[in-house]
Parts: sequence; structure tokens; C-alpha cells
Amino acid sequence: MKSAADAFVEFAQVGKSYDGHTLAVEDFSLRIPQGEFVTLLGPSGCGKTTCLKMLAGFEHPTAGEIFLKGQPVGQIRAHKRNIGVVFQQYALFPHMTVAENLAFPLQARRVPAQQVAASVARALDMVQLSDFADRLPGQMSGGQQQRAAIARALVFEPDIVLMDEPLGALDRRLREEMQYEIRRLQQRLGVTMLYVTHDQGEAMAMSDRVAVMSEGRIQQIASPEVLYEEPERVFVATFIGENNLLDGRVVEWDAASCRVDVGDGAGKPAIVQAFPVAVDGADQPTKLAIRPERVALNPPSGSYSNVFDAKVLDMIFMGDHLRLHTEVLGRAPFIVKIPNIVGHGAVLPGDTVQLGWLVTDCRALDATGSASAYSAAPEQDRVPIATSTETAPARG
Amino acid sequence: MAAGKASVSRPRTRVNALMLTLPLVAFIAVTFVAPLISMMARGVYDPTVADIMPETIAALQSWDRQGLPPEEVYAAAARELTLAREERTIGRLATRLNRQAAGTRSVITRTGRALNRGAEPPWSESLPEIHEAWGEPEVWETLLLTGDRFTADYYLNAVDLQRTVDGDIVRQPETRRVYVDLFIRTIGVSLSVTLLCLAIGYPLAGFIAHAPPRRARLLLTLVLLPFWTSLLVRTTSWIVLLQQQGVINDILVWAGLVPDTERLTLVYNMTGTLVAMTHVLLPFMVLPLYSVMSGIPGVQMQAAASLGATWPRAFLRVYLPQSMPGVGAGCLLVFILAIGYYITPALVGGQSGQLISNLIAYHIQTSLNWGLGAALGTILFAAVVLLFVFYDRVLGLDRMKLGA
Ligand SMILES: Nc1ncnc2c1ncn2[C@@H]1O[C@H](COP(=O)(O)OP(=O)(O)OP(=O)(O)O)[C@@H](O)[C@H]1O
Ligand SMILES: [Mg+2]
Repeated sequence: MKSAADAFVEFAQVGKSYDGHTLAVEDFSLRIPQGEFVTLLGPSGCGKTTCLKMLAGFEHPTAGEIFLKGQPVGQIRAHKRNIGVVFQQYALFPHMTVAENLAFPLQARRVPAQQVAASVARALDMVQLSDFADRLPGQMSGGQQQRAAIARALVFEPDIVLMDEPLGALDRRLREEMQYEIRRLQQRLGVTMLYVTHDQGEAMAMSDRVAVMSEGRIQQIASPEVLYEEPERVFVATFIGENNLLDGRVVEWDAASCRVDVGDGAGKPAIVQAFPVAVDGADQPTKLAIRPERVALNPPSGSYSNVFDAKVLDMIFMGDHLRLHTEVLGRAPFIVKIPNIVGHGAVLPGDTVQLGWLVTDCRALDATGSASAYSAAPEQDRVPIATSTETAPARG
Repeated sequence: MAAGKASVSRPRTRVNALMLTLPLVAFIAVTFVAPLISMMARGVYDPTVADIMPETIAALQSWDRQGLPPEEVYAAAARELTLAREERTIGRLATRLNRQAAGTRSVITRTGRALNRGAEPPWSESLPEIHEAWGEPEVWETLLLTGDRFTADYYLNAVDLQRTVDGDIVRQPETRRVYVDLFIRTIGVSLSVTLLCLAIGYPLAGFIAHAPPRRARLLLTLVLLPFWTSLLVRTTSWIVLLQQQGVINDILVWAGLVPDTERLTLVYNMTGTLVAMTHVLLPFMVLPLYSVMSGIPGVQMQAAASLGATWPRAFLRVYLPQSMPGVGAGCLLVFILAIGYYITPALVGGQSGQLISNLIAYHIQTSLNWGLGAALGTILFAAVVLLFVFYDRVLGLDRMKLGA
């Protein structure tokens, strides 16, 4: 654990309201040690940009405090903060050439002309734009403009770099290339990075830690692996990757496992054994989250604590895996993913199968959160695995 | 192939398209180009003297200008003046000659009357008896000077020059030099109005362009409001505000800033002209500026700040250059409108606030010296065209944005 003094950037219970009554950001606390790559991930309007703006000095918190290297920044004007910002719309200066754009922050710092030229050349080389020094931004492609914007945010060696959905306007292939480039640059320069995106794949691929935000609050902040494997809230479970959700009520509880009655859809009780995450006693409502790839098809008897009969409704061939839509415990569709390996056992729609999953793969989360991954990701070219499914009681 | 088909059908489409513009072309030709050419022509073509006294002028060509002309010239003049009197063209002749040399009008009219009553040859004796001017060479020189159908006199006059009978071009006598000063004053006023509009309009347009949409709409409406009221009403309301017993003076006196006995003269002088013209022309500055500025994302200034630029530096290096097309368009528009402005100076300008267009109007409407009016107008027009060409060379008209 890093101590408080190590926090390079710190948000302490920051709140922000633009209009005086609705909160755009609420009780936002975040510590970033030097050199870390932290991503704010969340649906549109959840307050990501607002957080960046407060750190950059374009907006002021209405509650709490922001610290930079241990100093409160409240009284420091934006141009004194030494923070590099890459805006979603690039915000390159259209009347200046790329080289002039890069020289701008250095000239503002009264760096001698010779040094300016050298730094600019180095920065352009870093983003492979050396041949474009004399172009105007309007004469370059989106990806080239993006690289120029990144170079401009890095050229003056800022303490921290903020990037607000910088890859939003690029096509998928270029975006993946740039993700890798940005991550590589950040690691090479050792610069602290606060990155904003609403694309979970991007967040997972680049970050040391991801802060998942919803409605102005941080829902969970952890490394990509932990976020995926151990979501603490339904929002996170459904926003990151895909999860089947089962509504239920805790009947028996202890710290290592609990028994949850989810009902079989026909009015009879059905008990599922789950790992308690957000429940701490019996008789609490909960939602169980089960990853589709952690569900075993026709498991050997005795190896799984939870085994239920299911009916295959549909099967979709995805190449590397098969995607089954099943009905289990009166709920459909309950998604199951089977890797496309020899002997996965051919199933056909209409077949009755058995599904099994482990206690540790069935997390009992809060009952209040809702699955919002679809609304969270309006982009059309989202990675398909990023969807989630809330199973609903099947009719009839 | 689509391309081939397009190229085959193009000439036809183009002809059709051109045909569609014909009414417009004709309209422009009739209402704009033709009057323009006829106006320019009036400044260089004046057949009055050549038409009314052709023989006199012809006879004068052989005059050696040593002493007085020979008898045949006198005879021709007497004959043609009698005819002119009968045909009632003598007034026009008198006016034309009088413009060339003040005082000639009475020579002509008196001679016309006397010839009508009856006079006897030899004309070289009886004409000087009617009016002693005929015994001096000046009046003959005047006739010689004005005898050409094509004349540069109006243009020379418009820039305070005149032509002597020897063909030299000299300045007008001190008391008759008005137009050069007036041109300079007009350009000065136009520049001042342009700068005032820029000084007021730039921050205003910037404020509107970056205000929240609802407030921006309201403010823009307020800026445009003057467009919806008559120019006359707007200008006269400035009289109400600015006159000695007007609102502004009342407030100043009430506030004790000026004593009641020394109320400021704010109208019927240059001040009035400047104030009223700035107000009237302000929208023409604000609109192009607004349209350019609202295209500059607010994030540009934030980016500049994040890169370490202070506000003045960010403004000068980032905002101002991007707003220059609007500045250019607004200034050009306001300056061109101001340089030809007429009603406002006429109403609130008093004597010292009159501009060149007021004199053009005077010559067209009152003194009926259309030639001079045309010359002044053409010079003004040429100045505007020159300005346009200059602007195009330096800034490029294609970069100009007049409004969205
Ligand atoms: N200048 C502003 N004035 C008033 N409300 C604002 C302003 N900027 C943002 N908001 C509100 O604050 C909330 C958070 O906005 P923010 O821009 O931080 O969202 P975001 O997470 O960046 O969303 P996106 O992914 O769409 O960029 C939104 O509800 C938004 O309507
Ligand atoms: Mg945003």
C-alpha cells in the first residue's frame, strides 16, 4: 500500500454541482501514485469529464479538495498546474502548424528557441509525425491529429497527463493501435495518467487501475483483473464483461458462503449456493452474478455445488466459442459460453442439459443495482462480449 | 458509366442553368450596371456648350488668344445666344458656364435678354456694350474650355483641381477647395466608426458567441433589434438623447458633472455623426464576428490554458487569430457602409458632421450639378473597389465570413 504522502494526485471527497442542486460528481475520492495509469470508466453523463476538468482547473469543486503532490490546487490557476490535457476533440490550434502547436506550451514557459526546436523534434519523433511538422491540423487524418495532440500534451513534460476519450473518433483498428501506443509511451516516460473512456475494452487493455463510475460516484476501483473477477456491485458486474443475474433472497449466511432462494419460476423454492459479496445476513434481497464462461455444461456429478436442469433455446456459433441461450430455473435467456474445443459435446436447441457452477463463481451482490451495460455503451462498434444479460422469469 | 453520362449531359445542363439565371442577369444589368455606367459617363461627358454653341466653339479654335477674338466669333456667339434664348436652352448654358467661372451666368442671361430686345452688328462692339465681360478674354476662354463634349473638369473639380485655358492643371482657389478635405474627413469618420464598432462589437460578439444558448439568442435579438426599426427613427432618437436639452445632458447636469450653463454639444456635429453611425452600423460588425466566433470551440482557450498560457497570451495567440476572418469581414462591411453613409450624417451631423455623400446628394438634388455628383460618386465607388481588391490581396475574400 502506498501512504497518503505518496499520492501524486488526490481527490478527497470531491463534489461538483453545475446548477446548485443536481450533483454531477459526488463524494469522489481517488488517489493516484506517481507513474500510475488510472482510467475513469463509466456511461455517458456519469461525470468523467467533470472530474478531469476539476483537476485541470477549468472547473472548481463545490465540495472536497483536490491535491497535487500534496498541495491543494484550489488556488492554482489552470495555466500554472503543469498538467497536459488531450481533449476528445483534439483541440489542436487550427491556424498553427503541428510544430507550432507543439512549440506553444514551451514558448509559454519561455524556453529558449533552440531548446524548443529540439524538444518539438523529439516529441514529433516519439509519435512518428516528424514528416508532418509543417502541416496544419486540418490537413491531417484523425489519427495523425490525435498523435499530434498527445505529443503536445507531453512535450512540456507535465506532472500528469489527462486524456478525455481521446480515441473516440477513430476507427476500431486505429483505436487499438493507439491504445497500445499511448500505454507504451506512458510507461516509457513514466508519466502519471488519468484517462477517461466509456469503452470497457479500452479501459481494461490500458490501465493499471480502473475506476468504474456511475451517476457521479465511483462504484469500484481496482485492477482490470479484479474488476472482472471480483465485481462488488451489480453495476460493475454488468458493465464489465457479461453476467447472468438471478434475483433472490438470502436464507442462510456465513462469511464464506450463503444459500440463496431464487425460486424455480413456478412458485417453488430453489436454493443456489453463492459467495457473499454485498450481503451480510439472512433474509436480504440479492442479485446473483454468474459469468457465462464459468458455467459448465453437463458437469460430472458431484463436482459442482450448483447443478440445475436447463433447456437449450438457441445456439449461436461464434467461432472460438458457442453461445447457448438456455432456460434455467424458469428464467431465460440464461447465457452459457462453451469453448469450441474437441469434445465440447454437441447440443441442439430443444435438448435438455445440466448446468453447473461453483460457489466462488456465483457472487451475491446488492439487489438495488440494475444492469445498465446496454445504455452505458451506445457506440455501435462495441466489442460484442461487453454485453450483459439480466435473466428474467420466462413466460409460460 | 455514370461519369460518361454526366459529362455528356453537362453542356445541356449548364446551358439550362445559365438560362435560369437570365432574369437575374437582366435585372442586375437594368437596375445596377446601366445606372452605374450612365452615372460614370455623366462625370466625363457634358455636351451642353458643344450642342448649344457649336459655331462659336468652332470659330474660337482659330483664335490666337492674343487680345480679343475676331468679329466672326462675336457674330456666331450673338446668333447662337439668340437662338438659345428662343429655344429656352440658355439657362442650361448659363449654369454650365457659371460652374466653370463664377459670374458668367449674369453675362449670358443679360446678353440673351438684350439680344432678344434687338441689337446691331458689328457684334464685337455691341456685345461688350451689353455686358463689359465680352470685352475681356476670360469669357471666351471659358467658352473654349467648356466647348469639348468630353471633359475632365468634373473629376478635377471633385479633387479640388481645375484646368486653365493653357491646359495646365492647377489647384482651385483656396475658397473653393472643399472636396479633398471632405474625402479625408469621410475616410476619417469611416475609420473611426469602424474602430468604434470593432471596440464595442468584438467583446460583445465574443460574449454572445460563448454564452449559453438561451442567453445568446436573447442578446442576438437585442443586437438585431435596430434592424427592425426604421433608420429614421433610430437616428432621430439619438437627437432626443444627445441634444442640449436631451436625456444625456440632463443626466450629466443632474449628476453635477457639467454645469447647466455649459451643456455639451453632442449632436449636430461630428460627435453626433460618430455616435449615431456607430450605433446604426454595429450589427454589421457583430454578425460576422459572432458567426466566426461561435465556430471557435470553447475548448481552444482551455487547451491554451492547460498548455501554460496566461489569458492574454491565449487570447492573442489562439483566439484572436482564429477570429480574424470575422474582424476582416466586419471592418470591411462597416467601413464600406460608413463611407457612403448619408441619412444619419444629414440628420445629426450639422454643418461639421457632413460627409461626402451628403454633398453628392446636394449636387444631385439641389444644385443639379450631376456631372460633379457623378464624379464624386465614381471616386467613392473606385475607393471601395480598391479597398476590396486590397483586402482580397492581403487577407483573401474567400476567407471572409459574413454570417451563418
Ligand atoms: N457546463 C455544464 N453545465 C451544466 N451541467 C453540466 C455541464 N457539464 C456537464 N454537466 C452535467 O454534468 C453531468 C456530468 O457530465 P460530464 O461531462 O462530466 O459527463 P461524462 O461522464 O464526461 O459524459 P460523456 O461520456 O458523455 O462525455 C452530466 O449530467 C451533464 O449534463
Ligand atoms: Mg465527457
